[in-house]
Amino acid sequence: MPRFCFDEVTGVTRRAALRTAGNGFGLLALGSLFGPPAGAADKPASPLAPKPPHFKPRAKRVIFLFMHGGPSQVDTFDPKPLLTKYHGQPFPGAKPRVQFAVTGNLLKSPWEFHPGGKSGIQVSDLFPEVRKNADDLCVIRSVHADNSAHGGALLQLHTGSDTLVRPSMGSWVTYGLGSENQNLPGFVTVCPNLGHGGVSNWSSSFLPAAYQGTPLGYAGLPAKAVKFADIAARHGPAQRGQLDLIAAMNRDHLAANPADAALEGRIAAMELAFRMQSDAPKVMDLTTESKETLALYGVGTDPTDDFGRQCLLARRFAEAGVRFIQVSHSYKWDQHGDLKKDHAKNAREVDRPIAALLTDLKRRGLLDDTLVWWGGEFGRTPTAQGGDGRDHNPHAFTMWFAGGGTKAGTVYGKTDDFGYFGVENKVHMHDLHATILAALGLDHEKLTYKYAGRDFRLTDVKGRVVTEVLA
Amino acid sequence: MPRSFAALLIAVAVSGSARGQTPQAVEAFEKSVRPVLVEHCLGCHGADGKKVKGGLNLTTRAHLLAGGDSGPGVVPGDAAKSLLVAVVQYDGEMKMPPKGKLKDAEVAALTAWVRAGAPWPAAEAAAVAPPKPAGPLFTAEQKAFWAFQPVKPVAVPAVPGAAHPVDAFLRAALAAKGLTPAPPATAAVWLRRVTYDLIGLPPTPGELDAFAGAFAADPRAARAAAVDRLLASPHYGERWGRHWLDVARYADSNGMDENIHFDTAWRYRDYVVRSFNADKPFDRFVREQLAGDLLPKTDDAAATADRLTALGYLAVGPKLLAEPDKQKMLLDIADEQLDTVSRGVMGLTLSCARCHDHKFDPLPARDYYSLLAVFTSTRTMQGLGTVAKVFERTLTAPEPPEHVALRARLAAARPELRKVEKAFAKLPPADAAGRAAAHTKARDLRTLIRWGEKLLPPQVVVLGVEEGGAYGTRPRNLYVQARGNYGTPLEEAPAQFLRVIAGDAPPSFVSTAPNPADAAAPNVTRFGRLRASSGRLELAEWLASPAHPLTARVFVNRVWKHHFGEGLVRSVDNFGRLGDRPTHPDLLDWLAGRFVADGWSVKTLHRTILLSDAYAMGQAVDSPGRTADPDNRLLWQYPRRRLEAEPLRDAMLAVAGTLDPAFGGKMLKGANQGYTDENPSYASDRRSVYLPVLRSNLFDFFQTFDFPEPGAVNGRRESTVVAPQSLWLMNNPFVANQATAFAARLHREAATDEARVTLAYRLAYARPPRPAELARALDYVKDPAAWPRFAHALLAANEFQYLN
Repeated sequence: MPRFCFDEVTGVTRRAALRTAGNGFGLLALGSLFGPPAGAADKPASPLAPKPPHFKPRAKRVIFLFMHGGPSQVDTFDPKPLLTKYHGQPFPGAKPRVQFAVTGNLLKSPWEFHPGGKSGIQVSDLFPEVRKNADDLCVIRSVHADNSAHGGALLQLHTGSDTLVRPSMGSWVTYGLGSENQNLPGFVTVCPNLGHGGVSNWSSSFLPAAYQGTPLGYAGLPAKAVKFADIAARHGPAQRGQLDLIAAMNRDHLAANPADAALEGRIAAMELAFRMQSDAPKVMDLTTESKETLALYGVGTDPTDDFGRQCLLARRFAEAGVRFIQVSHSYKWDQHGDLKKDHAKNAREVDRPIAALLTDLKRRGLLDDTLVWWGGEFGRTPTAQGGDGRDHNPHAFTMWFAGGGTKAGTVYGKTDDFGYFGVENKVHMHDLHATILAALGLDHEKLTYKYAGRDFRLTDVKGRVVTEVLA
Repeated sequence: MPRSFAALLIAVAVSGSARGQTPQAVEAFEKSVRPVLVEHCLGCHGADGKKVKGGLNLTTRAHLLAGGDSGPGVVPGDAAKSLLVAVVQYDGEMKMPPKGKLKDAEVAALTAWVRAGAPWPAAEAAAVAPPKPAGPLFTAEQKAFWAFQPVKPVAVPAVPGAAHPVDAFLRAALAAKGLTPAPPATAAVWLRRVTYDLIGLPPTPGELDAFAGAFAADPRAARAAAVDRLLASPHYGERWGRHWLDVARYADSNGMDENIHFDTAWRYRDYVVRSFNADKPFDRFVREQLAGDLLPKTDDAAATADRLTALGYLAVGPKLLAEPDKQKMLLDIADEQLDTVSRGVMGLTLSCARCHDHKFDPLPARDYYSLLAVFTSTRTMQGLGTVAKVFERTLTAPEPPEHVALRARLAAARPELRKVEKAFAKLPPADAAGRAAAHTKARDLRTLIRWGEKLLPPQVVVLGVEEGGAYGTRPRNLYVQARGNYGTPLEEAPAQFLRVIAGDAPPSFVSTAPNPADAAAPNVTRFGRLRASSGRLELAEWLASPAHPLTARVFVNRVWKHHFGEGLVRSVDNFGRLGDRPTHPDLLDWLAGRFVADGWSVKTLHRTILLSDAYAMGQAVDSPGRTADPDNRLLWQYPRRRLEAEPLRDAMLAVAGTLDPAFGGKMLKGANQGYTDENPSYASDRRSVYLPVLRSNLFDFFQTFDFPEPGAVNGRRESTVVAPQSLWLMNNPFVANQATAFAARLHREAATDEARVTLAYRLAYARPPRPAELARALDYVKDPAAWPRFAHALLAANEFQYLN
């Protein structure tokens, strides 16, 4: 096991609970203050106001269930009988030119696969609950990306680029579509990891700050402790009185300095901030959920409590009209060793919550226009690292969609006999990004932003919409 | 395919014609090869002249030979080495066509054709792959683009009433549009503006009073004296150093994939602050940061140390430290450096030319690789192994051999001690003898380490670079890389400066010699002629030369931007075609020329700009400029500006009386080049420039208030209005704490409520309260417990954050 893989900073402080990083919600007056000194007619407009898509969308929002670390495709959604048959023998083909670490012979999966639902999609015993929802899944077995280290792979997964700081996908989506709730951020990410790109994975980079992801908590902080930053615990009459004083001072200031959109915007921002103080805690409050729902997600029981809360929060954000929601099972899936024990442990933590999310969205009629997306930054080698581990493999891995107008109950793409490389209908990360944008009604070639002298897009100069996975 | 065709093709090849362009071969190509290409390949590889996946165009033989991202398409005559043949076999990683394997006969035909030398109709080959059209390298229009013209001497226009040259230029442009400048701001507004502009702090009531008196006597003399006083303040470098640090994408950690702590980066930051305070000539500042290690030796130890510290500029960038592809890593690091230098110093987006000739500016890919080789010939890393460490230089003098030996002994003793301690813990309590022995050993080791560390003088290291030598950084030319892919080298890029500036065929900037090892090999970066040196010093000299058309213009424009909110060229980091044109080209040239003539003195430049009437204007609500020039490009009024993150925070500390004015040093703890503390404490009363700057995890306050992403050059921060800023102002403990301290200060320094409110307004807004404001405030603080809330309101209200 490469040492640095786990050599992560885990120290967290109380201070961290207060971090806002990049919540860009509710920006009121756009862009530069040095821009137009402004005619009085200039009304501050919200950049998060809903915008029409390029074409008829299938999905209105995205929930990304991020399995940080890289779950193994051959142990979850891509069964390989020949891997079992040739267990212990050398991989017959050529291994990648640039390898992360040297691996040994073929390693069979410790888990059995069984068909689920009417579609009969094969799911391993790591995910018995998700298997019950097999008919909602659109499994893509041939995803591939370019970087075999976590940091680069996370950056490419989240931003399209593993070398340069680029806007994250959630930022692009929010930039393209705005958001349906003006009192909440348009893009939230729950318990993200601060390493492996950290903020870059939800930053708006050169897009306006309003489109930054708002982190709630961070990896390592229990989901029950996450909250929005700088929201006063109590905001009684004293603060209201103080705000009235500020508002009066600001009005005087504006009267002395008339016709300035930025000053007007800032007055409105102060009011919005006050409103947000009551709305944001409400959406985070799980006590209004029924016992049945809490039990469905496994909230309150080990080992599902933490990820169950995250998934339930995701549903609540989706209901509230948040455009892009990411929840992270943070950096747990990196089994260079102890595959049997730790993949099983990880799966137990997320299987029930994920199934619950699918079930819950469906019964509330939200699955139709919510694109649920599951996966990690890469897959793992079918060959063994040590006796009971697998190394990183960006050359082929499985991600799946559910809902949001994707083709339910289908499998797309194929890997070789052992699951090392894609052989059929390969889907590059750029293609996946293009496809998700397409599900949202956005043309990945038209969703551009001018920066440093040229138009940028999420998919750079690449990307193919995999229409085959869209219903 | 008929067996006979393959035989025919082979026969043709054997018959000796290199291209095999006999009628038979061409016929075979047309019959059995072209149809396959047309049916199965051209859809993605060039049929419509647009779509060329993977960079591979299969419409001509030349294109096929040149290949795409994955290398040449074919090696004529050698099927085994030909990518085209490999991919259609369908047994490797890459399989083509993606929709399904070709028929065996089709595979055989392609294979045979390649073996036969890949013949292609000669007429067509000539028609579709013409040599690069003869003619000038750049069009006349490209050469005439304003930014590449030498800075020209400009006469100051004669404008009645405009005594200051800056005003003469500005008023001439205003008059052309029938506009007039706004009336002057009050003395207090001007002092608040210039104080924040130069030192990033508010004026004190004492300074306001002194200035008001002097201003009444002689406004111009009062302003000149105030500017001199502020330029002499050590806080000046803290403000202006930070502006340069935005351009230098300064940070205390690597960010990217592995967020490594740069424990010595602060030394570079302090160097920048010191340089501005010392009014170091800007040309020297550029030379030091690019080539401080290569400048002529000096006996001045402090100057030598400064020059090495300056190299942090090149070293402190973000890098993928766990990049598995080491060739790409070397190139990416150099690219990041070249991008920083070209945008930061020249205002050119040269990095666009990594994959192809620049689409909009006359910057051929060859020119990019000519300069990229300066940095691939420079050593920036200790090594490229995962997780890679950035190279460091030692500032202290070389040590005597006994110190070197002792250091080595200590380096060995530390792990040894850990081993002994571990072994000790495992010994059973019964093993008294073993425990005693281990105990003695550990004690001896501890003594050795303790005394050794006391004995050795501390070594000061800084992030830096040196001339290449290790891991492929030997000084060598690079080859141009098709589509930025090192596996597809094209022509060699000679050691030449940008040709649009240096001329079509400039001399080599370093001497070069043939490289006997230069040969094309698959998937290997190709290096050309050996360079006598990297060319870093020569690049620095070229950039810092008075004749360079961009260096002085770009920097003068940056300074103007910080004084007027926008640059004369608004796209301060892009002087290319897609950037903005100067609003006042003559003024820009006049300032640039004067800057160079004044010995590149930044402080003199400030004086020139700040003592103009334009800088003293107020806002004009009713000016016709509001409709004629709504963007205020002609500067008919002075623009209102929001404070950036640092002066906002620093001003809160200043008015609360809690600011710790200590200079420099390190605030972020951690093992040098170990993983960074992702959640460091920002609880400090130091100035914001000294707070840790973590890439990938910026201080939340910085992020909320538009601090730039510290991963790339950014000379123009956004100024957004977002609700989280309001939340921070309303609820963040930092603001509440400063408000409490502010309220306490008011009580310390003033005896009555009326005096306290007046002092509060003077501290926060540089003016006394108006009668209505005073009455409102007195009403609010009837309850003495409301004082901190009142102080908080002053800090959170708009007037605190805005400069008129």
